[in-house]
Amino acid sequence: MSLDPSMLLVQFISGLTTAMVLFLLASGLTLVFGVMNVINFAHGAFYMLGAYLAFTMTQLLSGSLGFWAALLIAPTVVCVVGGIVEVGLLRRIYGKEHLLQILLTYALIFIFNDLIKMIWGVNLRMVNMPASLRGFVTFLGSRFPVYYFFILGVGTAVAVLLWLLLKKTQFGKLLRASAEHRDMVGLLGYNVSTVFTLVFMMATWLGGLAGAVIAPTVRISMGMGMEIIIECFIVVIIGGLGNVLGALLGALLAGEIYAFGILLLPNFAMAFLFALAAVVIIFRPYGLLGKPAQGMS
Amino acid sequence: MDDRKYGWLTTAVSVLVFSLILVFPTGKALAARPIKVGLLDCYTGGAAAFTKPALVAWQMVVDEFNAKGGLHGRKMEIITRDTKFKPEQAVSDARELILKNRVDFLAGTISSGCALAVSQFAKTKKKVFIVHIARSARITGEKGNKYVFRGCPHTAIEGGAGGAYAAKMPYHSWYIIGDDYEYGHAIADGFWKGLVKNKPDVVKVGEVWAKLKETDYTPYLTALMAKKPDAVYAAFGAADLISFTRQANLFGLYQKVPVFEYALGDSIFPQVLKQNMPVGAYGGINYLWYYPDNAANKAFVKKYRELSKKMGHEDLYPSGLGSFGGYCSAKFLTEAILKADSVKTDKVIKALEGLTIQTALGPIKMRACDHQALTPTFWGETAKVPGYPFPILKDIVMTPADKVIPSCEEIARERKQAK
Repeated sequence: MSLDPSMLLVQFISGLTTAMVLFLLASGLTLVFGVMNVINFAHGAFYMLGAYLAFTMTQLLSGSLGFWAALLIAPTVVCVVGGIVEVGLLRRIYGKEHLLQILLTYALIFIFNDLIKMIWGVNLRMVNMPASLRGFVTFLGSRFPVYYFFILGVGTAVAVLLWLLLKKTQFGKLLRASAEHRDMVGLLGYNVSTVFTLVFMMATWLGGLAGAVIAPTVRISMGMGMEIIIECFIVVIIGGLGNVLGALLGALLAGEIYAFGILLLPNFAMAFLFALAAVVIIFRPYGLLGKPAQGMS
Repeated sequence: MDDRKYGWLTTAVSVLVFSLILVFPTGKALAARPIKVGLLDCYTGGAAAFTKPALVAWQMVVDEFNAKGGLHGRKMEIITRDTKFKPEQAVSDARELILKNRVDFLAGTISSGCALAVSQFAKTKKKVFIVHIARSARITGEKGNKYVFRGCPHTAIEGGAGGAYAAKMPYHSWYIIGDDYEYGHAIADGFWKGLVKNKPDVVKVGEVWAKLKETDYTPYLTALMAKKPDAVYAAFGAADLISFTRQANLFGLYQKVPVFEYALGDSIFPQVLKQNMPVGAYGGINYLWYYPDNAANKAFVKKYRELSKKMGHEDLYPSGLGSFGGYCSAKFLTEAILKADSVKTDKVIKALEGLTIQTALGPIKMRACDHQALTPTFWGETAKVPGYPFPILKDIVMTPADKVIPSCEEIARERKQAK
């Protein structure tokens, strides 16, 4: 089989798009774990809610306006729901054993699924792309939809903005401090509960954004959150729990391993990703960019 | 002395009156007791797009049966249960239907996993189970039994017909991409067998299996196109077919290479995909609402539309996967009951074997050796045809089942080996 460079480059780019889809979701997941030490299994449910809300926006406002409005409104609504969930439910389980967190967040998945079924019904839904993002670019003999470059752009913007937030702002400092020394931060007069609520709302905002952005490329149905959440967990584990740059690295690795795996050894593509996760867990259990002490970077 | 004599008389009369009161209404109730069919299916998620139309078709047949008086006045009634695509749930629902609701027959499901599980259960409970959408060939093949029947086609019939259709075209190198589960592999296997049989010089340049419910097919599509095959066969289950087709369309796959995609011909897909429905692709299915364009088919479509509207699931274009499969299976059951003049399992089984029903596509026979309906398959090229609301198939080729179905001897051998 001839492996000419253009084919490899094309496959590399398609791996990038997979990576960005994963990163959009993994960023929220890792944020919650890093700051609040909570494993949020329900993250996929917020993603699903974002997608369904995007659908409703495109139904209410026709044409491209519906899509852009969805990008604005869907994550906002999801983040408000996230805030309610955090204040009402998650607050009661901080500091408790991980098993309880898993039980609660897993239960949320079922609750969200049924709520969505009640509101939107059981039929498959589709979201259409805005006219401005339809069409494709031809690159090295392969066609790439413009929309995938949009996803790449959004993913990169999210990565950069998150990094800036965490490293360069006062709030970011507060987040990192709360992650490492919650009690100390409390003693210094900051309201840690509010910080946690805000972080959770940020994470669910990211999840909702991911749902709205990815919606035009997939079918929207119940259970769609579960389909992608396992890979997101792998990405977060590989990158290091709590590490946003790690999530980006993990997502890039996952996307490229998948892309090249499919090209070279299609039957084992999935296995490679999980094999990498196993290797990381054995040799660097805190993830490639993680640190032994619980913290955020 | 007189009292004692009257004592006996009173007792005798009381017993007589008492038994009459008991027997008469019970007898009346028995005579009017409906024939119950327990229909198990998945009505949640994407599957509902097929199972709800199937239910409409069942109701159509049941209404017809009841309008003609049923079986000596006994009318038929459908009781549904939602299996949520889980085999354990299906068996548990089947048990409840048999023990609590006392159904006479079981029917369903869209999921092959559920169908196989219920088939084994029906065997132990000695109830007829008629499958109406599930496609795994194993259901009437190696895992078949005396009690399970199927009124819709299976992957060997549909795949084989696709292979025979593709063999007529000059495509030499093939790439197969599909859903990594039983249905995907089975429909690809059937296709490849049919293709090789009719065109031995074909060669497979690549094969890749995407995991179920894959979100992003991009790396698969680029890897596929890198191999530059003459043609592609896409073997996806209904839900992933939508995601895959959407993304493949975005990547321009259908402009670059001929793609053969089973089930793309079904009426559901252009309605869901809308502007993402590809043209110039090749699709197949077991029933088309617009072909053959004869009186029988037109009448069927009209009746179906009216009933679907009445039932609140308005469906203008009956599908092959859902509506027609449901219709044939229901028709086989009601005709068999009338032929056997009974609802007793053994008598209905005997009546079903070899039974031919009249449908919009003409006569369809239930093969006795494996309890599989010999349904035809249609393949064609998707195209925008004026006068139709969405792309349909043109240059349609019909392949009857007996040209592609495994023989009775093969089935017997499979079942023996499976023991």
